[in-house]
Amino acid sequence: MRQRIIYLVLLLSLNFISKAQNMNAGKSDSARYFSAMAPNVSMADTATAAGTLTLLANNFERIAQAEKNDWLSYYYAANCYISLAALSENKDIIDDYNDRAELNLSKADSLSKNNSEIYCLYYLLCYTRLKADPMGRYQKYFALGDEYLNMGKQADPGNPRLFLCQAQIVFHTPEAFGGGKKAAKILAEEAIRKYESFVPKSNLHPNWGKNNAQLLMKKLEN
Amino acid sequence: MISCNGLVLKYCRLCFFSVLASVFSFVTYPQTKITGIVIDSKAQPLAGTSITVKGTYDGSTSDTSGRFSFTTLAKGDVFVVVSHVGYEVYEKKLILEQPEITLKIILRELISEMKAIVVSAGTFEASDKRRATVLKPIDIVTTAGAQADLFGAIGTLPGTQQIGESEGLFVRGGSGAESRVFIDGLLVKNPFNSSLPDISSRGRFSPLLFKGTIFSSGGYSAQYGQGMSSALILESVNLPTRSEIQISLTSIGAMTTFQHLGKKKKSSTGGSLYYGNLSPYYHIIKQRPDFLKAPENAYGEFFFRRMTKGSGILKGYIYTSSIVAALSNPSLNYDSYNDHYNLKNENAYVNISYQRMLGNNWKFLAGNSFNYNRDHIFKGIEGTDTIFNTLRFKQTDICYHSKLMFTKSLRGSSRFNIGFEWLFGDYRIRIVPDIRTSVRSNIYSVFAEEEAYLSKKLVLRAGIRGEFTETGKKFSAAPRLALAYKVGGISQISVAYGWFYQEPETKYLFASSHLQSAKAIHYIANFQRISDKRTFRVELFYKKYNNLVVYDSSDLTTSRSKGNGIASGLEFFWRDKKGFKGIDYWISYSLLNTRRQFLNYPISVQPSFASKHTISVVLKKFVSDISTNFGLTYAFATGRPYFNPNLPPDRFMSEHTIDYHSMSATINYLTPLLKTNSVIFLYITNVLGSKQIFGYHFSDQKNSQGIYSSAAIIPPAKRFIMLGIFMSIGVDRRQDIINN
Repeated sequence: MRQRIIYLVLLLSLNFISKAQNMNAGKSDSARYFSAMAPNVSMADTATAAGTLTLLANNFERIAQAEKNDWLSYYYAANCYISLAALSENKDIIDDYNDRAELNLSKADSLSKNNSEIYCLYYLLCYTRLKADPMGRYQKYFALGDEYLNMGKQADPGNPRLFLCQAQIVFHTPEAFGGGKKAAKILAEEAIRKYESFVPKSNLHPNWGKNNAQLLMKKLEN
Repeated sequence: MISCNGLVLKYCRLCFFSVLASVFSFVTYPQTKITGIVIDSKAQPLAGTSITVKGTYDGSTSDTSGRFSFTTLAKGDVFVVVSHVGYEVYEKKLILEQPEITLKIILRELISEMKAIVVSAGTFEASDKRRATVLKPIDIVTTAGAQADLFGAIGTLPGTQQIGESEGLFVRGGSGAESRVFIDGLLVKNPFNSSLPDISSRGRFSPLLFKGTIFSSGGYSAQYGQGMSSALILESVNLPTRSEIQISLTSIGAMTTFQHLGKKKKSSTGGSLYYGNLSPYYHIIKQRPDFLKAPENAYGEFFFRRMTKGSGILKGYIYTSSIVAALSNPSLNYDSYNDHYNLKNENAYVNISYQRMLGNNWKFLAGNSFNYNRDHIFKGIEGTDTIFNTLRFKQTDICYHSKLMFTKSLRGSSRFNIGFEWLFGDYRIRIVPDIRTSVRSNIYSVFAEEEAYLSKKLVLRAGIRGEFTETGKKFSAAPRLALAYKVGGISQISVAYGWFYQEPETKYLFASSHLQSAKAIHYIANFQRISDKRTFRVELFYKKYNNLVVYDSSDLTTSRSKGNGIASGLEFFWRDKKGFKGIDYWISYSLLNTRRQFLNYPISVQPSFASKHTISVVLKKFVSDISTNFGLTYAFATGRPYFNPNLPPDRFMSEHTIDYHSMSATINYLTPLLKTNSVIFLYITNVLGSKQIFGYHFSDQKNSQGIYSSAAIIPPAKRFIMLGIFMSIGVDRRQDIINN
């Protein structure tokens, strides 16, 4: 019995060693990459606390700097920073987050050209940029945001996140400037329709926002 | 058998344990436990800091007490990267050979350009680069009374004078010639259109060309020279956000602008064409002078920008314009005759600059500007069918500015600049038919300056500028010093000191070869408090002028550098966006005490371009229900001194004009006309029709009553009205207006 346990320990240890060696040797081991990304991706979908978002952003950036050629890890890191910027009320810190988000987005963009999901984050970033200095930045980021939105829709008309983000922004825009509930509702409906038919390329590819779309819809129906 | 078995077993166990032991040592050896704490420079723990073994997945995030702990299988030499949003990234080399390493990491706060403290003494900045600025670029475009003229908007800031009879920025007791305009660091010799006598002209360049404007009323950086009183530093747009076509039609002219943004957003090209003719307007709204030829002007612009390797950018701007105008006013010297004045002007400006990173944190900037200006002027005394005392001349002014600068980025936002400049001027006059004369000037400069962030709260800018002026055959060194210190979250105090040299204007260089550069010394102290919604500034200054040009009566050949002067004052600025709902307003007040002996002033007096008190109030309101932006600007200045030859010499410049009042209004209505984004606008100056007198002209000879007869210098019409439409296809320019 004791012998068997010892054998087992030995076997496990050896297995562990080989795995550890693999880890050090093969950098883009897909299984290792997947197991590192998956829990973070699923957490990112629901994270709303600044602490969690920071932790996730750090994790994604860590994976990104090890992988170097993976747009997804840069993409998710940027997404976390945009959420952090959206949560923050301190205008200096908002821009620190924005800068970090932009840095990650530009890397993602250079790895995956004309990507609708990346344009979607660029679109959101325009509004978190705006948040830090509405008076001074209105002109630039309004126009730029629209442009990213259009580019995103052109790159992938089926991307529901673009419609969700647009719906949320339109909802918070005064009616005099083309915003309001009515206009937002049309977009939210469109987003929900697109979520129904949306299939992500893999379990790690962006697939967030479905719940938010439904929550927004409830708000708009009242 | 048992014993044998026992022996075998023992042996086996031994084997096992030795194997196991080696296995465990093998397992534990490559795995290193890294633990530690991250704190900031005030020893406060930094939660949420990322610690990573470079190139691996190994790492952790610090907890609320700043502590972290993780294991890594990496071996040998590795780098640990520690990063926290808003702090400088920290990298440390570790040799992983022991099982546990403990680190104590101190992160320094990142001083980004966006929030770094900047020298505020003598400086008004309108830029998007920094969040806390007094003005935004958009304020320049939307300020009433400014009529989208850059200089009009600057004229609402403290330190500037309300001068209606000639163009130029008259700052803190300095003349218009003492203010210099720079685009991307390069001199613009003729920033204003050539003007007619007693009528100020507009600036040449559209404010939409610039992303940043710094108006300095003194104490500016060693990078800029040859401006004794003020510098207006303009930074041109890098790349537009998108391709667009703009069309504007006004009651005085039409303009179209086209700009194309390259597919990869790495380059853009564009241009604009303008044609203006005041003739129809002058037919409807009568002007006091008899415009024999209402001003007619045209200009064309071409610009290109290209991003290059090493985050470089190449920018080019070419501008060319022409204007013709003629007017006549009743002559003071000849009864029932008129003074005739005919102007034809051609102007060109070329600005090409290139900058790129050189590695090792050095940045390189090279630029050239070329200025060409030619005025054809014809003057005479005109009767019903005669014209006499005619003078026809042609003046050509060529100026070339070349600049080379190297900037080293240091820790934080600190930086060090070193640069060289060459300023060449060639000015010639030809008095028709055959008098020709010309003068050349060469100024070679070198400057070095360090802007050091001594702490997050304290920035020091120290520089020196050496200038060799060929005409004066003299080398002069000009020290410049400024610092700013944050005294609270949003308050700062700032001081500036500097020497400023300027070569005399060419018209004096012509006449005399014994002229030295004039010199001004500035002392400035400032307090500023900026929050998102409110700005308060107060500034004190003292200036001393030496070596100003003086000459006897009207004989320029007696010109010598013997004049001097002083100026001191107190200025306030208050801007409030929340006190009255939906209203954004600012108030500037300037108190100016100045005297100078220069030109043909026999004694030191307050010059004709200086008011003791100046007030500007700018008010903006957007009414969203009717998509209309309303703006009002009120300007007040106490009367300025003028020379009355009827008075005894000891009362030189003792009389003052009446106080100046001006209220201008602007209305911008935003509409999606013809599916474009359009703005219909109306500007009216001097809405209340206040009487404005800028000074007096006197006759050359005494009249029959034994006095010099006079005529007041007044605007050509009580009001100026402009109605127009601005259409933009491709980009929503309406946001420019809504913004406020």
